[in-house]
Amino acid sequence: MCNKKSNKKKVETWLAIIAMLLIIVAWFVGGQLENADVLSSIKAKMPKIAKLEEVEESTYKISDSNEESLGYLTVESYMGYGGPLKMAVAVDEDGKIFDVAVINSKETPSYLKKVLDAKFLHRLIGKSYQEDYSLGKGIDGVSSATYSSRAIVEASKKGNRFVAAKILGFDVPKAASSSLKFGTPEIILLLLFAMGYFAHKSSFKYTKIARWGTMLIGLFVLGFFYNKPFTLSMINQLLLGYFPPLYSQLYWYLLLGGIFLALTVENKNPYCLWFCPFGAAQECMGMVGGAKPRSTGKFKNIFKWSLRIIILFAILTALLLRNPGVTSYEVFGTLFKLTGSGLQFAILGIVLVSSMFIKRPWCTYLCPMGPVVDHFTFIRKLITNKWKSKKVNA
Amino acid sequence: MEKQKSKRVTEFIVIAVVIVCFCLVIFQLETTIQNELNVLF
Repeated sequence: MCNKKSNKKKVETWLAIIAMLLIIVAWFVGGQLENADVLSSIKAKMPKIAKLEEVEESTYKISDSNEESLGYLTVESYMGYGGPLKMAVAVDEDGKIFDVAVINSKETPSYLKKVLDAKFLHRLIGKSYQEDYSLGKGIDGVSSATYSSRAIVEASKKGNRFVAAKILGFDVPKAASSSLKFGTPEIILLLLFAMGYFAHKSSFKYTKIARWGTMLIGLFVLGFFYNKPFTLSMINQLLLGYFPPLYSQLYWYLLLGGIFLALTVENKNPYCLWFCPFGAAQECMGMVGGAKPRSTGKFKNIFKWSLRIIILFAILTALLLRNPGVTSYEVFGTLFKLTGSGLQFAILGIVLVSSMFIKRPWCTYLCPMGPVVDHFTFIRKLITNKWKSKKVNA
Repeated sequence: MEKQKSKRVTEFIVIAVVIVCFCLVIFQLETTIQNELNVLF
């Protein structure tokens, strides 16, 4: 019996190490495959442009099919929700934008589609390097796709200013510096972490009430109001090193930092049980139907390992394609902002109905957070055990 | 006996729900990856 257990542990250790190695290999291979053909993408998305002559790295003199000069085009990028968003920005001889296109993006497809369908790119046409515009200042964003909208505006502005200053030789006014955005979601998140930390201690009397309090705040504020839950694409972003700008996405750092800090120091995951908005939505449904924890009996391990394989595959694919959001199958945005594919709506429907009878079915069987946390805690345990044994030997 | 039967039925329903969800998740992943590959190549 003891031998069987130690064999199982050995196998799990090897599998965890193999998973880590696969992630590293996918990271390197993805980096090699990344350099896609930018020029053909520009020509396909900007049909007015027939000829591009490179004048500087990623900057071209452009002309139409009659060989008439149109101005200059540059490719600039800015960090979006999932990673760098690359824009082609065409600027005329007066330093005004006359065409823009998204050349490459790591955004969640449904959100980017929302931005493009709203004809958001048209709002940038005619903007000049002299104007001090940004999202919410001269340009209205697309609701629930703020990060993508901001990345488009900032990349275009950068491109416009670059062409005006470096190529056309205009005197470009200094860009206004960005200030750190510390607002309601950041404050609420810190409060939720603090409440989760103090209330989970055994000496605290009102754990149950506090948990419902944090869950409802999580559901309505982080879920319905801001739609900022923890997603697989955040993990992919972290692995890819696509760190968003600190001043505009402080929330991202607080959420990831808080979760991994608690996991490393306390070996506890405060997010899932205490304020995950989708977990709270399931528990509310569970209150209606009287849900209980339901097991899949002898198939328990099969489902557990199947999910782990799916998540590993999802992470490897995201690393290979250099796109954190591409394998994000979660249905959080589907519930909180009614954005998603038909399949996501179907998954959401089944999960919400079944959560009336099964306690947190998404968290138990489908959430990518489970395998990620399992892997992290397993590696943490391996390292601490090795460190402890080294200390004893010393 | 009755309790055992009801437990098995519940287990069967949970397994069916999980399998359906797994299939939908896999279809969703397949669709988004396919779309991404179409854009890239």
